[in-house]
Amino acid sequence: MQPTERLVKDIMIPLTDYPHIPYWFSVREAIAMIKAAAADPEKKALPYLVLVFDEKYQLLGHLGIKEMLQGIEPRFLKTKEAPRFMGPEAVDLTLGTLWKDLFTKRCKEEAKKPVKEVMAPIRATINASDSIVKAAYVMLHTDSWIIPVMEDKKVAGIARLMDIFKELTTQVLEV
Amino acid sequence: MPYKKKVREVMIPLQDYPHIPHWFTLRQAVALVRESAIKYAGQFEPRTVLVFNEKYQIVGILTLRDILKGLEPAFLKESELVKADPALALVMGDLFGPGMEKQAENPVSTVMGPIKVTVKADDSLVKALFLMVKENVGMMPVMDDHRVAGMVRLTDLFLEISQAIIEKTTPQLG
Repeated sequence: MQPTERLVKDIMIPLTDYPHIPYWFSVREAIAMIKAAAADPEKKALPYLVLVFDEKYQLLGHLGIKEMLQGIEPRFLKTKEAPRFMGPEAVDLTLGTLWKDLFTKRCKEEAKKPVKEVMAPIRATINASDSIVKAAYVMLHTDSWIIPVMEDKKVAGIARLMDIFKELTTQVLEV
Repeated sequence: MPYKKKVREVMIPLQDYPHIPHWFTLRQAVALVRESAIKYAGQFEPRTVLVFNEKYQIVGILTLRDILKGLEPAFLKESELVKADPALALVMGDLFGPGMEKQAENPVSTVMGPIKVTVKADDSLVKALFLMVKENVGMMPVMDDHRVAGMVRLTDLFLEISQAIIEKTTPQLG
C-alpha cells in the first residue's frame, strides 16, 4: 500500500488512551494527569498536551506546557517582565533572588483555577477517513505535533506527527 | 527546590540522543529517527536530530518537519486551491512518490535549521525553562565547556518545576 493510501484512522491513538479532561478541572489536575501519564511504563507515547471537553463531550481546547505555565506562574510569560528575569545581558543570567520569586508557594493557589481560563483553542482537526498525507499537510501548516481526529463530529482520538512521519518515510528505506 | 536543580540533572546525555554528521543523507537521518523512536519508546520522542561538523561542533538541528520538507519540497508549496482544500494536494501532484527516493540522497545540511538557543549544564531549570519559552522551542542543546553535553526537553523541565504544585504537603520552596 502506498503511503498516500493510508488513512488517519490507521495510525490514530484512541481518545481513551490520551489525557483529556472537562473544562472545570483545575490546572493542578491537568498537571497531575500529564505526570501520571509520563510515569506510566505502559504508555508508548508521552503526552505533550491535554484535550479539554465540555459537558457534551465537545472539544473546547487544549492545554500544553505553555498554557500550564501560564496557569501556575502568569508572570513568567509576560514579555514586559522578561528583562527582570533575564537581566540586561542574557549571559549574565545567574541564580539570584529574582529567580526565587518564581514558582513559589503562590503557584499552588494559582493552580486551583479551572483549565478553561488558560486553555488554548484547537488550531485544526482532521477526519479519521482522511489520508495521512492530508494530515501531514495540515499539521505542517499549523505547526502541530498532534492533531485531534474527528469521527461523526466527535473526537475519536489523536494523530501524532511521529507516526505519520514513519508511514511517509517507509518507502525511503525500502530502496 | 526546583530552582536549585541544574540542567545536567534532567538532560538527556548526548550519547543517548540522535546526532549525525552534516554530510549524512536524509535517508540516513530517517533511519536514525525511526530506530531511535523504537529504542526510546516511552522515554522520549526523537522529534529532532542534532547535526555536527568534522570537529564535533554543533552546526544545526533537523526536525521531522525539515526531513519531510526535504523529501517532498512540493508538499509545502501552497497554492490557493490547496489552501482551500488540502485534499487537493493529493490529486495535484505525486506527493511522497518515487521522486522522494532521489531527494532522500541530499545531505541533511541542505534542510537543517540553525540552533536558536542553548543553555549551560550548570544553569538552573528555571533559566532553561525561561529561555525555551522565550525562543519557542520544545528542546535545546545543553553546553558543557563549549561542547554539547546533551539535550533538555521542555516537558522534563516543566514536570520537575511543577512537582511542588501537585504535592499534597506544602513544600519548602525558596
